[in-house]
Amino acid sequence: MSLVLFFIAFSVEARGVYQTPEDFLAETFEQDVPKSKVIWIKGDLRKVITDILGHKYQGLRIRYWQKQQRTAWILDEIGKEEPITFGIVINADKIERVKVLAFRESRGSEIRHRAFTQQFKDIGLQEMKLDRHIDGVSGATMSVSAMTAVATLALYLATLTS
Amino acid sequence: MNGMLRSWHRSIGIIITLFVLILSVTGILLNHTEDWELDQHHLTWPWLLDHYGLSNVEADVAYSLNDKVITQFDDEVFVNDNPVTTNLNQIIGGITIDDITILASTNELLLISPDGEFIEKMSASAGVPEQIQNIGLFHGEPVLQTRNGMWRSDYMLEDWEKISLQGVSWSIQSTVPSDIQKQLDSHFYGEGVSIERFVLDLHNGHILNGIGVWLLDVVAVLLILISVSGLWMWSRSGK
Repeated sequence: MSLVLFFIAFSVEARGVYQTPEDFLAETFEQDVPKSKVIWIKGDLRKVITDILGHKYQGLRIRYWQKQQRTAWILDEIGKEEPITFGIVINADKIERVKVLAFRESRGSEIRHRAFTQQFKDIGLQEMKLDRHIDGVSGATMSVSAMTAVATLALYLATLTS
Repeated sequence: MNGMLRSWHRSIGIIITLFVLILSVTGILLNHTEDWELDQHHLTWPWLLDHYGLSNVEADVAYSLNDKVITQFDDEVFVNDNPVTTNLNQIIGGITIDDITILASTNELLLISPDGEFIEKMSASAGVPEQIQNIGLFHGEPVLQTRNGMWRSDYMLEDWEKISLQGVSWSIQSTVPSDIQKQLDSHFYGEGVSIERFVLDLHNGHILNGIGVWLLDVVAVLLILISVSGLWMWSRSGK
């Protein structure tokens, strides 16, 4: 019984909003958040994004925040059934930081831990893929795939902003 | 004794005739489901759809904007009968500016293109005021009523100034036209009830939910009784 209660408690605790996009941006840009810009997803760009994500992106434009060569992206991607909200910072074509801002699935929330996300630090893009291997998390395969896909997408989109 | 048994046998026979006919006909149909493609054809009789709970799909909210009907079912947002995006909060209003449909929910604005495609969600991180209560138009410009007052912007929706205005035409809900309602019903529940499903449920009694199963149990007992009584009378008649 106590084991069941433990898992229920763990499951409930795993879902939630860990940081609002506003707080993530304020933290990233040290309270001086630049005005947002947008990239319209049209033509070939739509095809490239579809290839990166493995499915059509839901939306016609993606918003980002830029200060010099640093860009911040707030991107949603489905883990298994529910969207996971990621905050990603790209600095000089390398990932500076990836953070799970909101997790709504019942499983796979382990990807939010720093021990996992720090693997992404300083990763770049090579032939439309991450230039370094990411170790998976047992039981969180789809969440890991979602994070890998949005990290790749943010790296690619950042190349379009310079 | 034999006379009474014969009378019972006859009464039971009359009672179960209809059920034997139904079981026989539906049994034959089920034997040929694939040959006659009964799983490919559907019934759309209104009473049947009602019975199966496949009618009256009711949108949580509906707005008529820019010659389109916007509805929300739980967290799914539709333009006419096309699901375009998900939104955890309920839409509380909508306006149209330059052919772009702008829907408001508590903390976001959802933008829909003239072709009915989802463009983007804009929230506080894009400068949109939070705790939205309604959206409206004032001389062609978007206005938001929030818990913290009234805000006005331009078509870019990125810079909002706090104001106090009279005469804003606030968004109001509309009803879903019958043609769109039919398309939404079809989206949620397909083409109706397949003939195979209907025949199977007639055969196993599930068409009458729990009572149907018990009714068929009674019919089965009566069939056993009529068989035994028939055999009994046949065996006695030879002596």
